[in-house]
Amino acid sequence: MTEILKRTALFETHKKLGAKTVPFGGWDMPVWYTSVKDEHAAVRNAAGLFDVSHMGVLEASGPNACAFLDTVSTNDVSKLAVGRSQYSYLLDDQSNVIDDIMIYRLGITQYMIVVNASNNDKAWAWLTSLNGSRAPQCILRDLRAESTGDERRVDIALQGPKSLEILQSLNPQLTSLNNLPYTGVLHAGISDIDVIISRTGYTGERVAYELFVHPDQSVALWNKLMQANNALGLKPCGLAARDSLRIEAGLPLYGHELGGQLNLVPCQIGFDNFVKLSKTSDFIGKAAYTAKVAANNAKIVRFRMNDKGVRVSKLGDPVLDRRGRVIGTVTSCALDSNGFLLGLALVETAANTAEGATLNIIALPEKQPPPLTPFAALGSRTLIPDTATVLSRFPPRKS
Amino acid sequence: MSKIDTSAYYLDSHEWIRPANDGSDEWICGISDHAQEAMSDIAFVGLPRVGDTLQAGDNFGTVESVKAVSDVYVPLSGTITAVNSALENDPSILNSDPYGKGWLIRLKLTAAADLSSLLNADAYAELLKTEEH
Repeated sequence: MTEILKRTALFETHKKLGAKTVPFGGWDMPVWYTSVKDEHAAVRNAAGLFDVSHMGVLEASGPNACAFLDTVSTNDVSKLAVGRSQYSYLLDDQSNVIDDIMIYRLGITQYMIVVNASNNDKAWAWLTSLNGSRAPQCILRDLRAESTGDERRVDIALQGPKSLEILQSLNPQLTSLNNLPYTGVLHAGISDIDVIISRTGYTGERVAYELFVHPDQSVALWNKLMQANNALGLKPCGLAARDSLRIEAGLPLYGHELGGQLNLVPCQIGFDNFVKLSKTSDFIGKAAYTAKVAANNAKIVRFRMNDKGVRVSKLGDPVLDRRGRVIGTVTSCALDSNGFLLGLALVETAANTAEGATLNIIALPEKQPPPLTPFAALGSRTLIPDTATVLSRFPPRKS
Repeated sequence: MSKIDTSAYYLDSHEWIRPANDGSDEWICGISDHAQEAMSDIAFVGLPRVGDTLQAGDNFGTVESVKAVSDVYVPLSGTITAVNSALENDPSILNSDPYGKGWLIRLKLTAAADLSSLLNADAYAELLKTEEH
């Protein structure tokens, strides 16, 4: 049975821009418009515009909203100031990651929560089941639901060094953005469109914004941004560039570096500091997570293939030491800004994963050649690993 | 609309072939502009060996991007006289110049070229119209 894919309000706009679309988390989404490399470069050097209105946007409000969120998520919500946002996790009792989320504090008792498209229904069901039972009762709303009326919100991401200039070209009065710190969030108007602007994103860029807008106005906002100033080099960007940018930035994707077949948790991926074991309130999954931290023997490393033109490794491909022993598993891989394959892999902590160390990676093909036998015919082929070099866990920050 | 080399003949799986026109009697084969666009950024090109003999329709290599792996097929029968090993070090040439520097193999045909089973440029353009709607 073919799944009926959902479309965002921007679907026709993408098609007019020549997007190739693919199924993602139940949605028919642009994977690229022109070339992944050009879109990736636009975000690093100018700016890129992403339709992320397939992502879940929820709200927790009321006097217990903070206590609710502190019970269901791992970061310290009590320390989150109005006008700031934080990255966090929803864990179940066994500390399996239900989703990785962003929490934006919009008012004293008003928090917006963004969840992954693929986890939206699961996260919503989990949160509503806990509300008023295991966590203090708050008011939960799905901000994308039609029943939310005028207060509906969907996410559009504007990422890259020229983003600020683009926003200010549409609203010169937006000087408050000059002082908006990273993770800061404010309410503003862009032309006549009401927008919640947060300085956040999933590309590793520091000048980067997510724009939360009513879905009926997402097309108008998108078009205004695209027409803002041609000289600034803004490009529409698809999911493939979103993936290559976040991999280059060392950021996890649910199903690859979190949860998924390896069932990864934050302490294995270098994101331990978003789990506050010392925060005042206990959170669901804390005991099991504490045990996983103690037992953990692997970590995510970022690597770059040493040569161009090697086969593309993917989730599940083995990482070997120089004697051919498996020491890890590739979790993600894509082309970086320089045309090299750059990826993330879970590698045992006992292995040498210092920056500059060599890894050997076999990109397993769908059809494996038969093993070589003595006196193999000239021209027979076998699999050999390609070499990669371990990079710093995150890229050095641009000045 | 992607570009079409009007001097080439095509398979509906988006490979092209044309005479080398360099004084030799060899033919050159590659993948079309439409094919490279559909793959987006190509990261790996797997090529055969010089001297291999291929029958029309044989799979002779693979092209991989981060999102897709494609087998490539030879439009006419022949023996490989050269492969474009520059692609092994810089596969992005295939994206930037699919009909020129991004050629895949050169062939000495086994028999006189039988073009009746191939698409000419006009027929290939028609095919792309239906695929690109």
